[in-house]
Amino acid sequence: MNFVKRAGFSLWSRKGRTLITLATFLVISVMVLAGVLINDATAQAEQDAKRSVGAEVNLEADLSQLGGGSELRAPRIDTATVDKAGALPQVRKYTYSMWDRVLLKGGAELVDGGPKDPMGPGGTVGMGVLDTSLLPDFRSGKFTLLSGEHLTAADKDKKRVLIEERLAKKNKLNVGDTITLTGNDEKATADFTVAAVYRDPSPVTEPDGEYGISPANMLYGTVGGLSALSSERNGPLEAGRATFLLQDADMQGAFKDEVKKVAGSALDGFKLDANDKAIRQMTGPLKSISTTATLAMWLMALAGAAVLTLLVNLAVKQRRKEYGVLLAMGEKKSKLIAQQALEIVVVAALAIGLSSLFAPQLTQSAGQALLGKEATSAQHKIDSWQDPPSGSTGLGEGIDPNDKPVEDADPIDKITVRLDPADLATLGAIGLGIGLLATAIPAGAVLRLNPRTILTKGK
Amino acid sequence: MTSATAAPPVLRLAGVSHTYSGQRRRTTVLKDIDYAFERGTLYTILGPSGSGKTTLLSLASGLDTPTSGTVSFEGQDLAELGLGRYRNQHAATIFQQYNLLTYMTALQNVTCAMEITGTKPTTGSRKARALHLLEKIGLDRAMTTRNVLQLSGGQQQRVAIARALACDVDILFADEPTGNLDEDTAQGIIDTFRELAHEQDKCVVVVTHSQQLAAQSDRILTLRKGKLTEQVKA
Repeated sequence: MNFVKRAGFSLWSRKGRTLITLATFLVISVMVLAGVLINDATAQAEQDAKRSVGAEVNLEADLSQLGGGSELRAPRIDTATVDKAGALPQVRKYTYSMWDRVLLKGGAELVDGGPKDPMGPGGTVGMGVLDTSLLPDFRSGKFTLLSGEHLTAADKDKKRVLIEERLAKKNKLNVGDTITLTGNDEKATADFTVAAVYRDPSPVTEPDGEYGISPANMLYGTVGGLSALSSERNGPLEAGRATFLLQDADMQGAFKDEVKKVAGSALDGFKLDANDKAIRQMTGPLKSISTTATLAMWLMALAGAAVLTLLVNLAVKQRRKEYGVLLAMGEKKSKLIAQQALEIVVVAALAIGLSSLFAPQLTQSAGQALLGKEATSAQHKIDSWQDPPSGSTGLGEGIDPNDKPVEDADPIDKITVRLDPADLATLGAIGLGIGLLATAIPAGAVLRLNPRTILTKGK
Repeated sequence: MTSATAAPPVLRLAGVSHTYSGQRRRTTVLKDIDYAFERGTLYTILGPSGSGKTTLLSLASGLDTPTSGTVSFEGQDLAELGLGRYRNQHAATIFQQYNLLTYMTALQNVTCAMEITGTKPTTGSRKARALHLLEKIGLDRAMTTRNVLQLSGGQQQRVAIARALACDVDILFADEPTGNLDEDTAQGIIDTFRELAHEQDKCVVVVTHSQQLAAQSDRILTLRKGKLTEQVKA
């Protein structure tokens, strides 16, 4: 092991060169570590963003696939297929829904004051839902359950409904009472038990965005119960939309792939949407600084590696006589390379150790400053959005409706830099790789010669 | 020119030639040299500058390989024995240019060589043996812990000699070992070489211009026009 001792003597004796190599390595280490840390921090923030948006995938009609023609029909999917997708391991909970026009019978009346008969006289929307607690408006807190219980999968084939507070009041209905409904063609009629009364804060006059009815008149019923009102239905239950809540936001990709396998052609006309737009809006600044940091990291690492290679190359050439002397004494070439490598490893380890002491703080400050600028710029863009004038698609004004910002998805403006052993391992691997490569090439070239040539060349 | 003994000579050069290839021409510096070196003998090799003395020393000490012919140690071709092994266990060289490890002290240079060759003193530590040798060849104790670059040329030469002596080898090669030494110190080195040869049964081969050294050697060889001849001592 005398090469270890020699390496120690060499490093100590050549303090100037050791310090220059250490400084070069330190710059490389700090830059590479900063890049690694920013990438880690942005990945973590992105992950948190996905979690905050929710690990949710929606199966809904893909309007771009509907095409033209006179027969514009919304696609439907067999609920058995949706159940298969819901049974996939990535899924925590799921629900699906379909809707049809229903009419109130038995003396019950709709709430007045809203839009004028968008579903025809006495008609409203009956939304069949597997699990009403998973409806977005309930999950977001917009709707509040005032009394009773949500509809669940266990109620699927029962005849139960959730009614809005104002409809309940008008018809003096409470939980446990019954309401008579008939289907669109009025051929089938059934009594439904009021399972719960909920509150939608939207005014009566504000039509529902999708169906145009008064929000007070919306009925949420069991899928089996409402489907039974349709005389057209003679096959399996079908849904028009489904929502899957996943175990983890990271599973979205895998889940989508699995659903495509499970459902196959049943997905025709549908799309699987994972709130990508909200995530993109939140993580846009993160991606920007991550890209900048990665680019800076590699540029500095390459430049540093080039300088380091030059330094080591010069050092090896200056040490050729030393190699010749040691070889003349019968020292093994492998031990000479080991000595040179050890010297680099010691300097690299010292540089990595030093960089790990202050790089995290440095990265936090620099990363936060960069992110702050990006986030402010992104937020400004969101705040300055203006909807197209009423009745206009916006295209004439140069406004693309697809660019409309998503609500409650502010760009992320904070990152937390943390140093973990994996980061140090990455840095160590890159640093040692650069150092050893920088050493091995020139050392290998010198050691191919015999000792006499090394000692006499150039004399 | 070979000695007639039952055991093989410690070092034999057989048909050794060496040629340097330049950009335009090839120069043959050694031509078909046959010679056997024996233990217990101090050899000096004389010859004009450029006669190939250093080349001969390099081939004999295993630092280089001849263009043709063989060099063998105790009957074994160095190519078979391995040049590295030969240099490590059987031969040591004192270079004209000292060739010390410049990032070490005088003492470290000597102990480092002992570690590389695996030399273990019969009594005491490597450091004690190294200090003894350095003092024996006239290096003050205070000098031994100085970096060799802080020593004069003569002092560096003494360190180089001590380094070679410290390794317990069969053959010691030296290239102008007394060139930078005063007369008294040079005589001390010559005495040490004679002691090594005669009392420790080593083979000592010295390339020199020094008539003082040649006169005290057992055999004088002359290299001229690539040929090695032995002078008959008066």
